[in-house]
Amino acid sequence: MKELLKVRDLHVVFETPGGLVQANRGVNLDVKANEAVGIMGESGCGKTVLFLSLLRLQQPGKIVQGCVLFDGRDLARLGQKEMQRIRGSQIALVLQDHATALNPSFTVGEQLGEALVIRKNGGDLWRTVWGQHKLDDVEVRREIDSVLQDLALGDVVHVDKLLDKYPHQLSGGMRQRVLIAMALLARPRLLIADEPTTALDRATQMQTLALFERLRGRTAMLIISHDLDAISQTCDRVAVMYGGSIVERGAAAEVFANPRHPYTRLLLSCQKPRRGESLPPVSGDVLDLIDFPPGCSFHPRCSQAMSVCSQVKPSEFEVEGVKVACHLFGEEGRS
Amino acid sequence: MPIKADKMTWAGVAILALLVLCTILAPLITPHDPWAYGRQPFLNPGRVNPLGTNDVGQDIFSELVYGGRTSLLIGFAAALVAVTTGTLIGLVSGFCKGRLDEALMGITDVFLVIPALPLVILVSVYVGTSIWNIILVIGLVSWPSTARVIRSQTLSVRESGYVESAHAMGADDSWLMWRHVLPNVLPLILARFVLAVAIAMLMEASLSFLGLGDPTAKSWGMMLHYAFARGGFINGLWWWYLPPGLAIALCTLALNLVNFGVEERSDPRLKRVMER
Amino acid sequence: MLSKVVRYFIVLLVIVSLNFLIPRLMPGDPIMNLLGEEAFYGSAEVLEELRVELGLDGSLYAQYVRYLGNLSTGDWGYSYLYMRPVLNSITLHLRWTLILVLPSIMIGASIATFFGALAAWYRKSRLDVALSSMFLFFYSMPHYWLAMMLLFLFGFQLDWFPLGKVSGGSSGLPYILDVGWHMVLPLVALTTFKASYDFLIVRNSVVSIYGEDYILMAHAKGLSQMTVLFKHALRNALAPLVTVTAIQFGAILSGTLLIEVVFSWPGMGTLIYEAIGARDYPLLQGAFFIVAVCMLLANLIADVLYTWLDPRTR
Repeated sequence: MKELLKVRDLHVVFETPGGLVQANRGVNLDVKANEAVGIMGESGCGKTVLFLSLLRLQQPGKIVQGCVLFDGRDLARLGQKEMQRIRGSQIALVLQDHATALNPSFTVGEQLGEALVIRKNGGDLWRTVWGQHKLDDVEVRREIDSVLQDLALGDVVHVDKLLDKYPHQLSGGMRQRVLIAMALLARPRLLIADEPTTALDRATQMQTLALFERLRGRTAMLIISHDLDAISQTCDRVAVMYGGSIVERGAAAEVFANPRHPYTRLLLSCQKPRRGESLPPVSGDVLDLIDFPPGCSFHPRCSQAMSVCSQVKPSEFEVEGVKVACHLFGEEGRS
Repeated sequence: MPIKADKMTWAGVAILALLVLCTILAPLITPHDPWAYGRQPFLNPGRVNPLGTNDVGQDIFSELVYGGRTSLLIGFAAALVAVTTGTLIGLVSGFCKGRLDEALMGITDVFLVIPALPLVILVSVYVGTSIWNIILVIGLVSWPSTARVIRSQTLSVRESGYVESAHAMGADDSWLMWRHVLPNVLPLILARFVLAVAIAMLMEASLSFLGLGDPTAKSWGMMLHYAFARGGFINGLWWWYLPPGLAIALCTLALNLVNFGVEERSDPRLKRVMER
Repeated sequence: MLSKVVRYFIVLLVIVSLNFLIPRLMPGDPIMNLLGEEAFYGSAEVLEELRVELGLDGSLYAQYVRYLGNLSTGDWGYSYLYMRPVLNSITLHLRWTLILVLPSIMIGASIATFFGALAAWYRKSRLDVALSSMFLFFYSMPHYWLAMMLLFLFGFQLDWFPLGKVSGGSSGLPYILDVGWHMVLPLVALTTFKASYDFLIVRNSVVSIYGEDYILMAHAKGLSQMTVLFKHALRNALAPLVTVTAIQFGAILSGTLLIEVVFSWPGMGTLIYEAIGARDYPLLQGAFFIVAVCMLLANLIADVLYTWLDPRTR
């Protein structure tokens, strides 16, 4: 299977009153056409900036280095007009906070219908307004109905009643499904979901994860989450992120079974402590995205740090199909 | 909460300072006594009278500079009355809540709806037009909006974490008010004061223009009134009515600059990334 | 909804009461305050008759009831200045004020919305700085002074527009066109006044909307910048604008009064100006009442509009 998305050495920076924030420092990532890739990491690791950069919506941040190859085209170098054509129809987004991701002043039907209009006419002002005005209601409902049925939701609620409601009138789970439906209506080749389960209660979480499982194989997916369960249930491969770059990536099953990077090990041990065990303490301070330590960004907190770790930033080394950015698996480590 | 100010604020402060300085130094700058009936009326600008003379032969330039004193005085004093009253009511209302809050806000809301200038006109017509009357009337009409805003801020500060915890630790109400609430409301009070001065000056000018100003004092608004009522406008004597209007405009511009420059300057999209 | 109506009713009552109390409680003889300076010239007997006629001999409460009765039947007193009942003068003048106020609100709000949205979207750009400076400048100047300058420049100097009043006297279509021609300058002055205020409000509104998640989603769906701005962002900035317009209506009305004086436009402004000059108190009281009621109506309409614009309040 060919790579649909290839991110190489992506660097994204933000100018803030406090200094220059390096949100992404050399990110490498691959997503194939029909696979689901999870990005795992704690708050502040840069995963939000990463997916925003894929859509070129990272402003006021700037992409200062690297490339984002989507179907062979470098998105980092495209103009806004061209990006507009890619967003939605090629790459679609499902945001985390369902309460704020929908415009409170438009009905659900209007916003879902808009996704269809964009697919047909593009996203320019006159075309969108005109197209929305001319949109045949029957056609819209039929298509939305089929998408919702597909997501096994058609029997839960009547589509007609749903379309006339405003976002604040729906439950959280329903809103989440609307967001996903809105993304799928555009028939994207890559679906990005930002923390799809974080803002939901447990029962709705399970339903949403089941939903993503159904989508697996039909469209490429990039699922960003800090929840291990979510990723292991829905993703073929996983990438672990820390301090603005990917520290380990490979087949999900393999990475979870045999974590290699010290940070990955730490992360996984924190997620599922066995009964009776306490959580392992982590030494060192939270990473400051402005003042980076030289060398590997994790070395101040790493129990296995070597002298080279504080001097040279590790590149990716391949170990049994998994790519690890750690000197332990480089020359110094093996010797 | 520190107040960040940028170039606009300093520009505004500079202009204001310059104007105030001019009015203070009036006797030194002006060639004549503005009340002196020395010359011929309706003179064009010349060497003796840089801006000509008005309808009773007084020097317009001197009028302008001395008039600044009155206009600025009324503006600041009325604003002081308005903001003090409004702040007190807003603080008490937001802090004490309950029935008192409802009653105070009920009164405030009623006065918010009644149009200010017409009310001021109505009262002034009966009460009389001395400077102090004008100051009081303008001040007492302008407090509602400040009260509302201060009350909102007081409410949100009061609900904030550290006030609750101080309260839980046994701090009494007045200590809380002075020590915690007031410092956080202070920047807002200052902003409202600056705004109130601008509004008060404009209101005084409007009152005077309509003929309800203090005839025993010279202000920019009164100059405009006479310029209009005594034929200065019809006869195209622009040196008479343009300068006072310009002076008022400069003052209010400076005040607005001060306020404008102290706004939130960071990009709202940053919060999406920084909060993570 | 009911509580709102009750609230407005209370305000109406307060306005009526203020109108009743102010002349009677102010320094000076109430007869003078009620009738104006003209009353000075009556003999003692005539004054006594008037006193009885006006009910000033009764208790305050009795007077109040009488006053309310008079108000509702349209007896608002007699204007010595215009030599006709106050209500007549007011209805004659009110229409000219409304002709000026209503279009300027619409046009001003539209201009402000369009440019405010653009300025907010291209925040800190040269466009934003230019627009913001220009509108701030207009916001700061006394609007009637701007009116004077407009009249001076375009009326006196360039002779493009007439120098005041409403019409040279004609009828039918020529009359309408003539009125329109006379209306241009005062309308420009008033519209600038409104637009400059609204611009700042809209700009602030849109700037805060800028960072919202649904704006990001709109972009992510593939909508163009202009679509996101004018369809999604602006829609949410409208409700606050409506509220502000309502609150500001008093200021707009006050502004109109002054501009009318400059242009000798026969609206409420000129009415009040002349009434002040002649100390015609009945006229002033009637004018205050009608202006306050207009303000009340504007607030009511704005409340209704707000509920319609923001689905979350329904």
